Amino acid sequence: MLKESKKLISTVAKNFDFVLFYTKYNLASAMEFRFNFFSQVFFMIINDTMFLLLWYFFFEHFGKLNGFGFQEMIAIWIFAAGSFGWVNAIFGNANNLGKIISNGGLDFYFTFPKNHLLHALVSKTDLSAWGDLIFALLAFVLFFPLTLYSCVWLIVGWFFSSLILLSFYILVGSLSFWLGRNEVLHNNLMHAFIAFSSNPSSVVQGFLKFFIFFVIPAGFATFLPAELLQTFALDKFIYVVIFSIIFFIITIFIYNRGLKKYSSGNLINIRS
Amino acid sequence: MEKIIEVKNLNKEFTSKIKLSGFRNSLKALFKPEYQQMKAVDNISFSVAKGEKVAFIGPNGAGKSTTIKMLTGILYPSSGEIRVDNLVPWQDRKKLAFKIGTVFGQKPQLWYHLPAMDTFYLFGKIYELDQAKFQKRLNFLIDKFQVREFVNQPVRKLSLGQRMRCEMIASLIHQPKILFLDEPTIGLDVVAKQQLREVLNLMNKEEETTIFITSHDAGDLEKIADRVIVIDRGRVIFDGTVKNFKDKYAWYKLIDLELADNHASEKLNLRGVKILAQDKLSLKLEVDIKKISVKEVIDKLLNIYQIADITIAEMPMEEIIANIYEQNLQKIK
Repeated sequence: MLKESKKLISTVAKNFDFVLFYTKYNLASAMEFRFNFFSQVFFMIINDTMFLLLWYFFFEHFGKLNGFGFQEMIAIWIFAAGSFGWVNAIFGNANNLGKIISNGGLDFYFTFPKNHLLHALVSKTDLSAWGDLIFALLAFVLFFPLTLYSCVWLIVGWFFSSLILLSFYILVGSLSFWLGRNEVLHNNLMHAFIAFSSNPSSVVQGFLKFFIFFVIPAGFATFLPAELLQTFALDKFIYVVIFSIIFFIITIFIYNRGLKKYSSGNLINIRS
Repeated sequence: MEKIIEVKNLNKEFTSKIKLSGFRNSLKALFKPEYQQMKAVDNISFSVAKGEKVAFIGPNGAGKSTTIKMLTGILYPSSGEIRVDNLVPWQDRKKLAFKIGTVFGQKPQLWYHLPAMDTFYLFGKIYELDQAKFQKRLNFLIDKFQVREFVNQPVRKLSLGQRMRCEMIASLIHQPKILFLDEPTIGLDVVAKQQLREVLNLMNKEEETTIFITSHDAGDLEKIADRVIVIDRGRVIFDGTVKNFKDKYAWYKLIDLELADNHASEKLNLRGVKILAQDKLSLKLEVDIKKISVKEVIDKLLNIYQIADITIAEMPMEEIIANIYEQNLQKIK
């Protein structure tokens, strides 16, 4: 048991080191083109700020929606932009997973002694995601009191929120094992996730609430972490932790099932 | 000799979609697609000894890449057995990765915008190499492949030949026992090809690296391999030494004659001998060795001509391969 635990810890540490190393070199590669690097990061910060400004004017004009105001909106964006930033900055190929699968691109990762899925996900960074991340951090520093609780929850909340988003990316990408190329479905599902996770949670009721929590799990990824940033509630904390872990396990199970259908880069199509 | 690759009754089938031409058939295929089973690899068996250099050749679609993918654990077979250094590739993928290196000519592994050196460091991390050992190995390979002067330049600024040498270093950094190469010399100029072949032979000699190479380039076969496996429509049609390969598939030899006197008026009429070029003091002949022996031709030539010099050349390997591929095409037609 002790031996197994040691082995597990060693594997986690090695993979963490691997991810860190890859992220460093992905960034180094992106920095080769200075203008592109700075412009993508800068314009994403501006883009997110503009959205938040719009919400500011909205709440100034119409007041709170079922007790949901600008401060709550900032909390939502800290987790929406934050998780999107973390996932796409570190696991920059998450959004391309479906394409990689349908093009037979996993072949390359199979020949290395690392988990091929992890390797595929980390082998790219999305520069604009670093802008999202910086925006989320700035929003937190500027609009929330820097208490021990808020700082700890920011990190913990980002972890679970990012885990849910990453799992959703893998789940949607895995559809390519069965459907082949499916960019439209992929884009619609990902846009739905982002749209649901960056809008006021108070307007969501009934079936839509069920949908947002259990079909497109934006609720667990941003609504609950955002509420927890403002006030701690044990039940909500447990929901987030349990859901994100179970969702991740299910996603990996589905991915591995799909992997059996993977047919490499040999796209054979006969025209007779 | 110790066997490092063992393949027994290997089969791989793919399900592929059939679509007839035309809009109507496209519409039909959209709602009611039809599939058929395709045999990419058909019951092949072979083994490779440690340190052997094997060329795995065949026309496009013969099953070369599918076989290499099964040997490297990328694909699993429909049936049959594979053992690579006593591991089952698709089951022990991670363990196998430490023992093999792969170079796919058309799939670069180097970071395009960073110096090759950065990719080497990354690979050192991926293969969990000890820092001191890694550094020693890296220096050894940098010297052997003569890449020191450009190893710190971004890969996008390197020539294809320089890039391929760096690709090779990345694949050899963990000192693999077997190197799988799929079209490594594609697109390279003559000098770059020669350099690459030299270092492959060197690695084989110094480290006993087993080399398994697929290529359409006859030079790769002649300059690297000591054994050839020919695969055609999923089946092994030849497995033997390069010499045996030539003996089996080369059907002519070339004879170049330098003549001492003007024999332009002399007529040469031999069954199986074709005159390719003739002038006053030289003669070039193609001898169909299936119809007449070279000895017989030379005896005849000595009777007719005053010969100053004679050169006998083998059928070029390129032509032998082209011939096999053409035969394959004709069979398909």
